[in-house]
This record gives sequence, C-alpha cells and structure tokens, in this order.
Amino acid sequence: MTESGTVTVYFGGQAHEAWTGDGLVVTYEGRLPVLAAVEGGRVRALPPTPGRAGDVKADYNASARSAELAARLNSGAVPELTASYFSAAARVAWALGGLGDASELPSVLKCELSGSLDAVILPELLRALLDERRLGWDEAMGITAACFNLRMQGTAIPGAVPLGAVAALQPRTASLINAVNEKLCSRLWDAWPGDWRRIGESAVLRDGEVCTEALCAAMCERIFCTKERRAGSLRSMYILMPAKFTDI
Amino acid sequence: MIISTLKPHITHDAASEADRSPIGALRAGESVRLGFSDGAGAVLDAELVLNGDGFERRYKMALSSGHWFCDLVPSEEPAALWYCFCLQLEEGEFWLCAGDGGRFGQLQSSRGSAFRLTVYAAGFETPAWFRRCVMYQIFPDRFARDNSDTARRGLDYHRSLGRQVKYHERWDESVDWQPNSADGFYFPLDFYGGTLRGIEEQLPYLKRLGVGVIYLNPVFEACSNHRYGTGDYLKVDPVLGTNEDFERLCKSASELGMRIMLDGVFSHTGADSVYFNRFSRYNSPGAFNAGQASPYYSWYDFRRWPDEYRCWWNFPDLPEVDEGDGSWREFVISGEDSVVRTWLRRGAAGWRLDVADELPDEALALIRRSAKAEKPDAVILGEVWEDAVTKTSYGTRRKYALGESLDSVMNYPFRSALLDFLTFRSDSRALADFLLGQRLNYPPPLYFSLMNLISSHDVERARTALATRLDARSMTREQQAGFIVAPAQDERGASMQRLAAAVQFAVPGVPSVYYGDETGMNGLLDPFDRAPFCQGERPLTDWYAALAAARNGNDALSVGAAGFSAPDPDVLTVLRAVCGGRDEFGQAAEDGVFLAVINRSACEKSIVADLWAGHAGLSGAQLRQLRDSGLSRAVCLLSGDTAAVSEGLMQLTLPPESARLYRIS
Repeated sequence: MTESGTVTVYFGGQAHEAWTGDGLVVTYEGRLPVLAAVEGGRVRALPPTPGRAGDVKADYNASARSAELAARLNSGAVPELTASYFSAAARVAWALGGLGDASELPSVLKCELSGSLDAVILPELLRALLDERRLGWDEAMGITAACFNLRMQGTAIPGAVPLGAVAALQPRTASLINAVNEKLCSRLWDAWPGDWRRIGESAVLRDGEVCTEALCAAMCERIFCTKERRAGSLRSMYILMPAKFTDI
Repeated sequence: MIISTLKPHITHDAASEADRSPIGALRAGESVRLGFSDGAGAVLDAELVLNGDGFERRYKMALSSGHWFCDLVPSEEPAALWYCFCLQLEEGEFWLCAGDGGRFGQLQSSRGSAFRLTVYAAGFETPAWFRRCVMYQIFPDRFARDNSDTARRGLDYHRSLGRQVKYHERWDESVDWQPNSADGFYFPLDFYGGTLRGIEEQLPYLKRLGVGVIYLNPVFEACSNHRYGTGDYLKVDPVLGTNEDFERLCKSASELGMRIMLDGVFSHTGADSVYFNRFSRYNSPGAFNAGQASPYYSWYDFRRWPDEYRCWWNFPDLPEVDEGDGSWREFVISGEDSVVRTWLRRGAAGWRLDVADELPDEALALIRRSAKAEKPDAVILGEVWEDAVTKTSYGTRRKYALGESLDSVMNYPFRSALLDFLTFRSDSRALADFLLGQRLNYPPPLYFSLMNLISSHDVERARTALATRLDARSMTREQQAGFIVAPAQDERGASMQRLAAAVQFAVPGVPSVYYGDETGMNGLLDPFDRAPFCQGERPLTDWYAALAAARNGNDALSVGAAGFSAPDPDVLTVLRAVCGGRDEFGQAAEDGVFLAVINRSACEKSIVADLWAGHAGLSGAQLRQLRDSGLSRAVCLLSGDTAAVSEGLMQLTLPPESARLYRIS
C-alpha cells in the first residue's frame, strides 16, 4: 500500500440515503474533516485548511473542531475506536485514491485482521465502494472480502463496540454494519430457523454491540484460527461457511 | 423471512433444558420447569397458560437473571396438554406461542398455537426386546408356498362351505382386481397359496436379513385373502395351515431368535363367521341366523334383526361388535381361554390391533391387561394413522398412547414425513422438525417402540411412491393395474429407498420392512401392494441386511438417545448415542455414538455436522457426556468412509443421493 499525500477522513455528521434513478445516493451533512498524512512512518492527523468563502464563523468553528480532533488523535487522547477508525478510513482512502479499477484493490490492500477494533476497516471500505465508487452490494462485498483475512490467535479477545459509538464516528458505516448483520442473520435463520438464541449468539450485532470477531468472520475471505476458537465462538460461522476456515 | 421480528430476545425453546426441564413427555405426577428468556428485560409480568381438554390453568411466573420460569406438576393423570406464555410488556399484552414446527417461541399480539406437553401413565413400560428389533411384515397368502398341498386342501375346505375362491396356479400371475362379485365390486377371493410352513422355510432368509419380529397380517379363518373379516378366531385358516403349524412356526422362529406377532381384528367380525353366520356356512347358532338364541347375539348391534345392523364403514360383510358386551369381552379378551390369551399361549409374541381407533380405550386397556397377564413381555401395537397422542375419534381424545393400552402404534406420520422429504415435497428441516416433535411429544416407552414403516398392506409400496411421486389415491384401480414403473423411475426409486431405509433404521423405534420392499417390489394401492413375494429388478436386500446388522450390533442405534439436525435443506443427520453404559430406560447398554447422514440431493454436498450443539432432542446430561467422550474419528459402517472429528465438529463431503452411518469414537 502506498500512503502518499494527504487524504481526508470524515467524522460524525449525518448520512442521508436516497434512492434515485441512478440507484442509492448517499449525501452527508455536518461531517468533520481531518486530514491524514504519513510522517515518519506514522499516520498523522492534520487539520484541513479553512475555506475562505461562505460563513466564516461556521468555517472557523468547524476548523477549530477539526484541529482539536487532529491534535487529540495525534496525542492518543481519543478512544481506541476513534483512532482505529481514523487509521482505517485513511488506509481505505489512500488505497482507493490512485486506483482506477476498484476490482484491483485486493492487490494493493490485502492484509490480515486480528478480529479486534481493526475490523472497522471492513464496513468503511464497503462504504467507500458503495457510496463513492457506486458499486453494487455483491461486488463491493466481494472486493472487501478479497482484501482481508481474519487471523485470530488463541488468546485474542474479540472486541465489542457499541453500535452507537460507530454511528457517532460514521453513521453510514453503522448502517452498513446493520445491513451485514441482517444478511448474516438471514443465513443463520435459514440454518436454524426460529432459534433466536443461536442466531443471537452468532450475529454481528448483539444487544446493541458490534462483535468485531463476527464482523470479520462474516466479511473476510478466509479465517485462520485455532480449532478451539473454530469450535467455540466461531462454531456457527464454521458450520455455515466451512470453506473459509484454516486451522492454525 | 423476518429478521427484525418483534423482540427476538424473548425466547422459548421446547427442546432446551434451559426453558423446559426435563424436555419431552412427563410421567403423571412429575414436575416440570417451564420458562423463557428475556434478554432485554422487556417483560414486566408473565403467566404460564396450561390447557387440556376442557380446562385451562394459569400460573404466575418468577424472574431470575433474565429468565422467567414456573415449576409445576401439569397433571396427575395421563393427558395431552398444551402451554403458552402470556406476557405483559410496556406496549401491552403479548403471547409467546409456538412457531412453525412447535419448537421455538414466537411473540405475537394475540394468542396462537401452543407448545405440546404430554403426560403419560407413571407405570408405563414397554417390552425391552421389542424396541431392539427389526420387524418384517408378511401378508401370509403372498409370501411363500410350501411343497405340500395344504393350500389346495384349504381352498377345497372353503369351497365346501360354499365360498367362492380362486387359486392362482402360477406364483407370478398378476393379482386380481376386476369386479368379481354379484354387486359389481372387486372382492379379494383370489389366493396364491402362501402358507405358514412356507414362512417357516424362509426363516433363515429372514434371519440373515436381521429380522427379530415377524408381524403376520391376519391368519385366522376368513373368506377373503386378507382375512380381515374373521370367520373363526380360534382357527388358523386352512389355506395357511393348522394351529399346530402356527405353534411350530413360533417355535422355529424362537430357535432363531425371532418372534411372531399376530393381527387381531376385534372391532368387527366377518358376516361369514362362526359368530354372525349370515350365510349359514357354519354349524353354529350365529347372531344373524339364530337371533337371540345365539350366544353371540349380544355382540352385535341390530337395529332391526336380522338385516339391519351396525357394520364397519357400512360394509355389510363386516358387522361391528359391541366392545362393551360382557360375553364378547370374555370370549375375545378377558377369559382364561380368550382369543387374546390363547394365541399368546400358542406362541405369539404380541398383537397388532386392527383399527385401534375404533376400539374404545377401556377395551384396549383390557386387551393390554389380559395379554400382559398371559405373557408379560407381549406387545400391543395399534393401527393408528395420525399423531397418536392428540388423536381424537368420535369426538373424544384418545389416550391409547399414554401408557394404559398400546405399547406401540403404526407410525404412518413417519412414513408421510419421510416420503415427503425424499420426493422433494418438503425439506430436511421439516423432516427434522417432525422427528423432533415425536421425540418430544410421545411417551419414551412408546416412542422407542414405534413401528416405523415406509410400506404396508394399506399403502403403496415405498419403492413406487419414491419412483413415481404419484398420489396413488387419485388413480382408479384400473389405472393402477395398467401402471408400469419404467426402469429409469425404478432406478430413482431404488436410490431414494436406500435413503428411506437408512433413516428408518437410524431413528428410534422399530424399523418395519414390508415383505418384498427389500427385494425391490413395486405396487400401488390394495391389491397391487399385496402381490406375491418376488425379486424386483433392483433389489436392496444387502442394503437392508447391512442396516439391520448395524442396528442389531449396536445398542445406541436402537435404544440410544436421539437428536436430529438439518444442516442443509437436502441433508438430514440423526445422532444416536449411549454414554455411561445405560440406555434411555436406564438399562445396561453398550456405549456408542453414531451419526446417520442422508443427502437426498443429486449434487455432492459439503456440510459440517455439529455433534455437541446441533442435534435437538438430547438432554443436557447427554450433551455433556458427548463432550466428555473424546470423539475424534468417524468410520462409516456402510461405505468405509472416514472423517475426522474435532471439538464435536465433523466436516463431511457427501456424494449425491447417499446415506452414511458413522460410528464415532
């Protein structure tokens, strides 16, 4: 992956989804931009240059908040999820930035996830492919899956993130996690119709929290894990998609 | 499919001890804990609503750690019961009712289907030998001749009484079906001359097939080839042989480790019988010809003697009896030398009761008591076509499955569910739901003794049903007579019958093979399903023998715990297990774990079988024992295939239209 130049990562705001003659169009409102650049091998957050036109006071306020967020990101004074999201969104933006054909993305963004907060890159990439590249769901999911594998060591503890926290960072990402969850639940329902307990234990969203392990398992191309994990927390996923799994 | 359904965090699983402990049917007076989970704490108050015939009771439920529950003794008497939950939520009153299949709860704004709860007699036990058996059903006229002239002499006897009978000189002649009586109907008067000695000569064949009990359709003297209109309860039909032949058959069978069951037709007699004697063919004062002077007059219900009398399904040939009549009861059931006792004394191992639905519960209970008094391990098996626990007849809920009369019933619902699956009218989930439903709702002593059949003398043969997927009942006899099963159809039928048999031998109950099914015989409805025994084009004798050998050689396959799963719409798995050296009835049994896997699809299928959490029907203790048994390797007893087992998971690739029976160790 080449991470050259700066890219913009957006935080918060509202996403508006509208079906038009050209398909689903997503527009955003009230997002807070932060620039990302690589400096000294690390991703640094930079405030965007304030615009000079329009509502100066509003621009000033937004710029001030962007600058403050950038400073907090650089100092590590933000929640881990926020830092993960910033890093993930920047990587997606860099990867897609110079790419003409999105289907070539796996050749520049292939990597392994640990099943923790790094999972947030999955819905973020899906969002970018759907909303910015205007791909269809199946194609976007296919490219996303091809970019990532899940590798979980035996002792790795899966993450659990409130969906509301994700929505506060990027509302559209949260709604895509919802969509992934519903599609997974549909498959679980087909396998265990009526068994809400089993479906609930295997879903991406559980009691309002995103299970990052399940999110990765649902969206990654391959899963490398111990047989104990395969037989434990990923049991239903293994029964549904055994071909994805490789023992480590 | 609804995912965002109303409050999915409120759950009840009738097959999980978390919500229902113990799972399955209860003994009368036994306590049960019923409950549901409320993961989000949305329920403000809850009541268990229990109902049965003519009553409804409500129980307040308690809350503990997100789980609402209620302990109760549902009934001190055997009964078919139902329950559901009435919940108070912030939004108002809701009902947690049974969803499709009757296992999982479904929250509804109005009251819907309830979960079933069966309570059976506390002392209900069934003969241990029976549930370990493979059954073979024989239509006696059509199984095997002997080298004597017994049949011809028997037919001469019938002719001497003035009966019209016909003898098929050649065994391979087609069965008669054309109208042959004065009233323009077909009457089953054609005989092929199969005999009891013929059956006896075939015992070694049946032994090799793994048969443990032979069920004979009626053998008593009667004017028809099926003998369901009994002429004399105390005499073997001379076409079949003699009473001594029957005793010898029982003795010979016993020496080979087999038993003989008889078919008792007690709801009616033949009009042409010692007892009714409508045609004065017997030298006895029958109810018809002697009126009130007959000792049998009180058996029958004459509206106007002699011509107007109650008869079975309005067939005048089959006058119904009054099962409450004392002299009938004495003669047929309770007397020291009653029909029921006499034939058990002569060697029979039990009775299959024709049209058990039409016999009152009291008469059935009396038959049970009489039979058990004569032979404590005698089996009483009823002809029942529907769910045996919820069956109603003549406006009354029948209790014959609840421990006071029948040990077993003919499991026609099993046949329907299985054939529906194998003819693609349903999928494996529907079949697994059905199998689980019987596991949960039938009393275990009855459940493990169910006569699991796929063919009988009253339905089209499984081979034909599977080969053609026809509804035989929509065809006339003439159409059925002219129907030819093409070789390609028969090939498909054979392939599917292999799968049907594999299921039949893998589930709890007594697998019953209707004579000729194993040799690939075809046949639509009566009389075409009763053709003389022959080899079909694509026999499955070795397949049946292999299945029977596996079952007979492994306790888990007959008396082990059972769980069912449908990992794919085309794939059914059945898990059987004995752990800890005890079977489901606490009797000594060899430990073993087996998994039957059936793929009906024309495509190869890859599945993962979950031995620990995937098979509904096992208790928590059984699941724990399975987890602790260190299972690591599976070998198919039928194909030799092997598979690895890791943490209770087996990844399998199944050939098209295949059945596997893995021994897991």
